[in-house]
Amino acid sequence: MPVLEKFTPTTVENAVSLLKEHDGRAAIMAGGTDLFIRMKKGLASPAAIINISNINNLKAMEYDPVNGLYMGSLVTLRNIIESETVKRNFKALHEAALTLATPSIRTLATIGGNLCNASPSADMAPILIALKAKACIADGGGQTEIPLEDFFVGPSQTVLNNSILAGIKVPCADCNGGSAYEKATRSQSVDVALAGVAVCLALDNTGSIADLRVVLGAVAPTPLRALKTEAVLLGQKPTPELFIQAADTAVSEASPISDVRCKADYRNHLVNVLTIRALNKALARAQAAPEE
Amino acid sequence: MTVKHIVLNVNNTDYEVAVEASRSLADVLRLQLGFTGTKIFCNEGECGACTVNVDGEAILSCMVLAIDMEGRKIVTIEGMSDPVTGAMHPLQEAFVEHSGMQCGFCTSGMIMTANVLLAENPDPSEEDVRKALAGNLCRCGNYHRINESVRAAAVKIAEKMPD
Repeated sequence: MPVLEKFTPTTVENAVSLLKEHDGRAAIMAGGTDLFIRMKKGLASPAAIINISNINNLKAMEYDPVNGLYMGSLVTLRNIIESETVKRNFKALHEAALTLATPSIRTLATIGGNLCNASPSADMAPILIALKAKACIADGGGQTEIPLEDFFVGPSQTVLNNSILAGIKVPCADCNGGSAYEKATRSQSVDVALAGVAVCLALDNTGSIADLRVVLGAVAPTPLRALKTEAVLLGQKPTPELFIQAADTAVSEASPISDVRCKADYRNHLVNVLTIRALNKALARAQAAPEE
Repeated sequence: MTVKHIVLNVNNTDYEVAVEASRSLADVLRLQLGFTGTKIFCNEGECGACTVNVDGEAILSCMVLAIDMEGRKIVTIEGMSDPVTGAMHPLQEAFVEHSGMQCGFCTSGMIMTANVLLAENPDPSEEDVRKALAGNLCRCGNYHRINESVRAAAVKIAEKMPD
């Protein structure tokens, strides 16, 4: 795993200028839990590593009921899991974090890293997109915000270009309804998602679905907002028949591959099952949510 | 390849060592400092065999660079026994008494992860232990005895505490 140079900037501006200096030949390192594996396997051989773990203002985690949750990109999975605020207000975000890898990896792994590594099966992406998260990107001149669903371009590819993911904004607590992330794996405890479905939905005072997002993971080149599925559900009263129709629509929107873990047709089956489970769980939570 | 001279604090002792920038802590511990109790198995952070304690946390030593570990307190399996008397740590005793080892390859990782669990949760349930050790694989399939050993160690540690 040869490394020629290693830098440890203490500001975002320094990190971005180092990136620009190396113009595509340097890799950003935070927890290193994806980067090191790729380097050890020879899938990545950066000329330089820019270790951003000392940029303290990327570690902030803040919440208020008006602006929602902000997580700096260096917030670890463990920080997320241990946050009572997240557990209370963004239940499925807490649960999604618990499905990611192992306790020891979660000590090192960062939310920024999971998103920037941009695996199609990244566990934090579907639920964050369902929660209407925005990616805050720093390019040395300032920060721009984009919807998180626009952050991913392809497998392992994001919009970042000599820029850094500074943080994630999550505007509203479970969209004032309920959220769920259902993940299918081969083993009981630790595994990459074979398929994942995240749902966030809110009801109006007639009990109809007033606000909703359905996001599929691991069944397309990027995390995928299931727009047709959302259209089936929005404005409707939630019934078992409607959820079945929604699940069938979700399968039609997915485009999974067959790989060493799973065949594509089984992934489609999983999308069907997980969509119904996630919708039911999010609905139960939305119905249980206290009236504002 | 750059070589840096660093000081690593391992089991309460400072060691001066010249390391390449790309070396993992696991490699340096084993090959340069002779602490071969820490095992490298998958070398990808998936099996937990390389687990050590760094500043009281369970850290996968194959997944961190040695040069990033300067100034931290590193404890390996060799540091678990009493440095003066050589007496085994209650976790080590419990693994012996409850057949927590078959081939022994996962054992140091299991103990170092359990060490952190017991510091945070002195009375873990079977489920607590299973969740905490989810990242430590045992190819011999000895999980139930490993779980029992960890809980037996918790009892031993509690019995030794002054009231």
